[in-house]
Amino acid sequence: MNKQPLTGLVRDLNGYAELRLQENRNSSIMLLNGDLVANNKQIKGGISARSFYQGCWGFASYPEADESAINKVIKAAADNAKLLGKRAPGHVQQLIPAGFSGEFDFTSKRPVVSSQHKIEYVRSVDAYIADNYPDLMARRVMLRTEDMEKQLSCTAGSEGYSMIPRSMLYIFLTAENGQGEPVDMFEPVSERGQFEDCFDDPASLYPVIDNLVEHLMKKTEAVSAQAGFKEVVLSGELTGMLAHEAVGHTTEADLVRGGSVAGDLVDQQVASSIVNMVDFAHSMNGELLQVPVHIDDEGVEARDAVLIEQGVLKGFMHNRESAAFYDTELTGNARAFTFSDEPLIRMRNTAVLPGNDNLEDMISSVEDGYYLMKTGNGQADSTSEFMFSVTLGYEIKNGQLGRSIQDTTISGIAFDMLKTVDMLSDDMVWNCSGYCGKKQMMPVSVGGPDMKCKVNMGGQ
Amino acid sequence: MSQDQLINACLDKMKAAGFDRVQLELDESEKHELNQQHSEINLLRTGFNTNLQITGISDSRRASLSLNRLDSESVDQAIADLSDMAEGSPQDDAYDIAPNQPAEEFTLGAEQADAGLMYDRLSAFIEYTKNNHPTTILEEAVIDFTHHKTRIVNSNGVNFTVNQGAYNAYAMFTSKSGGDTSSFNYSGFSSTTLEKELQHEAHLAELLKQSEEQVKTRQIAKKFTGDLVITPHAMDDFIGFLTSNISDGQMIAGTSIYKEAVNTAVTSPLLTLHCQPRSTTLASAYPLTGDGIVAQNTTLVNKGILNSYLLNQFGANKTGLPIALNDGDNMIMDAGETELDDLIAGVEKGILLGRFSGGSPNDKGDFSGVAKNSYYIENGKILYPVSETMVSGNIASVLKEVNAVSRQQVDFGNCAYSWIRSPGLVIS
Repeated sequence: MNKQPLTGLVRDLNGYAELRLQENRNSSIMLLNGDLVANNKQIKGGISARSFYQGCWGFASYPEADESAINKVIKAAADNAKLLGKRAPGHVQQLIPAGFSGEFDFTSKRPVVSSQHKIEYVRSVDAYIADNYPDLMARRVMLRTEDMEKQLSCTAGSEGYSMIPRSMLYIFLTAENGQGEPVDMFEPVSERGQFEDCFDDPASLYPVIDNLVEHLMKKTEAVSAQAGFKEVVLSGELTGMLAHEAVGHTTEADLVRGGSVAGDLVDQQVASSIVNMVDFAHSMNGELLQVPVHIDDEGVEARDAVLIEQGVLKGFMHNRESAAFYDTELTGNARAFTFSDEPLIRMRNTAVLPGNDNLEDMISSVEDGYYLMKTGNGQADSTSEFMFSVTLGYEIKNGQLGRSIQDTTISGIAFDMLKTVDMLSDDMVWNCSGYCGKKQMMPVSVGGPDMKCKVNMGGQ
Repeated sequence: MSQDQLINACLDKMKAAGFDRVQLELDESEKHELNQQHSEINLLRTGFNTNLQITGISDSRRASLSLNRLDSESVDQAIADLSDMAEGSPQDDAYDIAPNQPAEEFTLGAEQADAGLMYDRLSAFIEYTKNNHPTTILEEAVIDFTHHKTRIVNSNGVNFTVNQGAYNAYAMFTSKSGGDTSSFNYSGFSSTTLEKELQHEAHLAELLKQSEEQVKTRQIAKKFTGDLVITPHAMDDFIGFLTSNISDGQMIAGTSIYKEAVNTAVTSPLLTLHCQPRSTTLASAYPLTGDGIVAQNTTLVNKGILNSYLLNQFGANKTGLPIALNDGDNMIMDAGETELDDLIAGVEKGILLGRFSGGSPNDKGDFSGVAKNSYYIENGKILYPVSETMVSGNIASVLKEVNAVSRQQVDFGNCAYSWIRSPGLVIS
């Protein structure tokens, strides 16, 4: 993406306005049983302007970024805002005018590899599976890379540039059970960074594959989970999903204003006192996280949003408008997926913080329950009722791991369920393999420790 | 440079780069979108875009790339990238592009947005909700109009133009009363005219009424095995399992439970499902498949019998099975013969499933998830809205065991479904 001189153009605008130049570059390579079924790239970029007038927003976007296109979107955005503002002014008339500037470029410093090299990499991973596990019914290996590059200027004085890449490799395996039925599992490997920084030697993935196959073989003999309210140990992967789905969405300020139950619970105990939850902007304990957002798409400095502290609900995630509505501090959560999207309140790196326990003690403390290790998808609700799928889990009987369980779903009311948390491991895992969906898609990362709690299990 | 000049230049450059088969899709779009949040119409978006998708096959190696900057330098770079991508591709005789067909121009829907009508419809819907459902918060409501002009051209002589414009609208809402909050619910539809008030589309008026009721929910007393009444709004979660399992991914992998199911029963004989890309009533009609082949209407499932798979050109070449005549969407379910009231009256114990929030079913079709915006039924009566209620079962069995299909339907403008009833689900 070629940067443009946006500053002078945006300063000529009246009221709050922003100009954003953005390019998303994605690639996708997928092998299905060794056949290349996807070998695609997408480059999507352009300029957008957003203007605020009388409490209403106007937005316009164009796929080019020359002076004519920039002038065109500025005019269209301003006209759109005035059209709405004159007919029916909005409730929030003034936005908080904080500015922030900086450049945050996470482009790889290593030599760029070719598309051929990436395909060879995926074929090496696939060949390892085919050679070592020939009895599998099916295998899919998919590599996805994603660069999100943005330049922003706004009338609050912000000048920002960021390039945030991530790379994901997904391994899907299917085996046959004793009844000749397919049983499947998948493992995502995801990292901040471009391919060159994330995937070097395919052999580094072999232990991941071996571990996946070992669990898959156990799953071919899996039993149904017993439906009902159960004591469980969630792996860090599931705890991260819980942080995002169950608490994260209900504490996005636009959803709070839209009726989320969290709006009535600020400063109330919503979890056991060992639970702490934060939507981190870019770093945790000085370590850069997987989706590092330093400046958001409204030109606001991105700050950590503390959601739960010692079990008490402390606050929400905000954009300029919601912070003005609730008369509170900005958190820098406004993010747009593509150049043609307006910024929405989105999570960044949402996590439950670690505790003081270890996984072995947590499992041994369960008399009759489940250890739930992997998830596929999840959803949240305005009531804080959440659900997510469980694609790998084991029975726990008298403190010992038992049989593998078939795919199931867990659910609960987050602000009830979190009160049942009585143990958290002292370590945590992060992953950024998925997208969050909320009008637009958005890359996010989630993190958490192993968590012992009680949830509703689907099953027989 | 005109569209035709750009396409011809691109075709020439790709042939010069060594591609023996080339397909191009050039799309120009214009979108107008009106957004309501928190009962205020507070965002108007205008978006222009172009997109050029280029697919090249060289010596049976394939790659595909899309870009939206169409200056000569960007296109040249894209073709160079495509060559690098294709060189890394293994050879596969299944790769192909659309065969030669007579050139044709298709025009569907409206050409321009009626911005005044969009505003009036949205503001009337906000007023309707305020006046009739004072405890309901319209979290989000959006109407957009998007017009596309798309050219599909390839080295086999394909030369199609598609002009298409349609409105899409959806609303998402939650109700609050005292300290109680309902689950959010939503519905949406496609239209070429916006001729009706929004509350009269996609069952929105009924869902808003239900949302107010759903602030007070109850958990079911204990786990039971009973009937599931699937509403049209939850239908895609069930029909989608069937369509995805007869499509490329599962069929090529050989993991589909329907892999030898053509001409056999895959659902109850009460179900008939049509795919209607050439519908004259659906706003989402489309004249060409994703491969660039003229689409045709088909009956996918006729009284329970599967008529065909949904394989695209690559999937068909790979499996040796027939190519599908459409992309498998624009699904119309034949209305049944049971009145909806009678369908519910026939439930001894069960759940009226308004929305399903669950994990993706596994390859066998086993599923479990939360019944959202749903009601408990006992002795033929809808008793109360439920919360924290899980439904577990197998989708293939659900479809096979359907024992009633309603006469009433909901038309979403891109599909139309009845209510269906199926027994034997675990409710916990």
